[in-house]
Amino acid sequence: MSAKYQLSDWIWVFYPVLTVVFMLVGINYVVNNGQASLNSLMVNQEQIEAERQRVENLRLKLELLKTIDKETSLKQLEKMLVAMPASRQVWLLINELKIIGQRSGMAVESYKGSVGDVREATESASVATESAQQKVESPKEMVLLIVYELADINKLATALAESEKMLPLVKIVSVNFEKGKAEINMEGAWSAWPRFVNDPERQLVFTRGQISQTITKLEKFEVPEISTESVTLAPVEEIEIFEEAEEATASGLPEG
Amino acid sequence: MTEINFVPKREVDKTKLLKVRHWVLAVTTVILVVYLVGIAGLFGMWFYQTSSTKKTSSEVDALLLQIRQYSEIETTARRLQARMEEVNKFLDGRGEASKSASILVDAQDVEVVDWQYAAGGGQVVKVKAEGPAQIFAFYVYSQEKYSQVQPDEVGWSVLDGWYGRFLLSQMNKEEG
Repeated sequence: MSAKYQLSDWIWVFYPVLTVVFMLVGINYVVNNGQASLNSLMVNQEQIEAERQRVENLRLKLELLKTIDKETSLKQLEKMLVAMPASRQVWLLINELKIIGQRSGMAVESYKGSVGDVREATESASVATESAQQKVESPKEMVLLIVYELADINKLATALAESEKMLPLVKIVSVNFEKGKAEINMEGAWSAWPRFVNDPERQLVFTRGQISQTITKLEKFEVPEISTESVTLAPVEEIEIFEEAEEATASGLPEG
Repeated sequence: MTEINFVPKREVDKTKLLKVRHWVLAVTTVILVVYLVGIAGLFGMWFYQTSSTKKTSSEVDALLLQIRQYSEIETTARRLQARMEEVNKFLDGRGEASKSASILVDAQDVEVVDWQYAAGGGQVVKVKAEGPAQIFAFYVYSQEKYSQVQPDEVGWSVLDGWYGRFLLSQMNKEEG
């Protein structure tokens, strides 16, 4: 090599060349492979945001749970169950109808009801078969047709007003008043226990104010005592109750 | 005027090369510094994310553990909430049977002989009276209570005397 192009004069070129190589290797790693790659950094950021939101939701739920008093809630639940039992308790409805008849001075001519499958869904129930589950979730209403003998509409109005003040709740589905008789289709309130999955992450909705308002509303209603007095009744054959209670409980409150 | 450069060409080239060399080294250094800062930032971000993930994950575990301790309360609360909603839904859908009946009871100078009521639907009411004036008065009275009153039939027979049949629907809000 001539003295004009000595190697020592060109060593400095290695610096930019090595720098470029170093950068290319680093960029390739960052873009494609490593844990700190841009892609995973972006994904991680989203995951972290999601996790933070999750923590926030859990924290809110925990705060809410801490404010709920179990004893108070159970008492409120019992009151709600009096208004709306967890199973079709047709005898309570018949009792109400008897009392309404007595108070308004009307004689009961007949009852006829279609109350469907009486069954209760409990939290402790094991995995139900599909058909059993369908039965539990059956939307069938408990409706009784009652025929009263009465002279005028005044007594009927009294009876209807009485019925709307009693627990369990009833709904007048239809009334046919004609020629000294009133046929009333009455629906008794009931609702099976909804199925809850014990998932601590599931959002909890608990509207304390609305619950208190509903309890206050229900306190104005009357819970009639079970009447033992006999009333003018049609023959027992008139009462048609299909598929009698299989798992109905008296209290309606499930275990646990 | 012509300038004559007496410096040898080799020296001139060497000076130019030295300038290029300085420029390349400076630019390379700047780029390298920027690159290193960027890489350091990325690693810093990765480190921060990793530690954040660990922290939130342990927070989640702790919160889940605490929430599980309240599982009985949660079940009760869910049941209570669901039942309250069912009760309110039932109450809201009860219709206005007793109110409708009391409106008929308050009607003057007519006798209600037939009444058909269906929750959420219309009503048919048949009244008997001494004459058409009383039946018209009932019609006016019904219009005060319901936004839709339709006279269906007005007539007279030996058996019933004067009678009127009306279709009533949509009770006025102040009545309900």
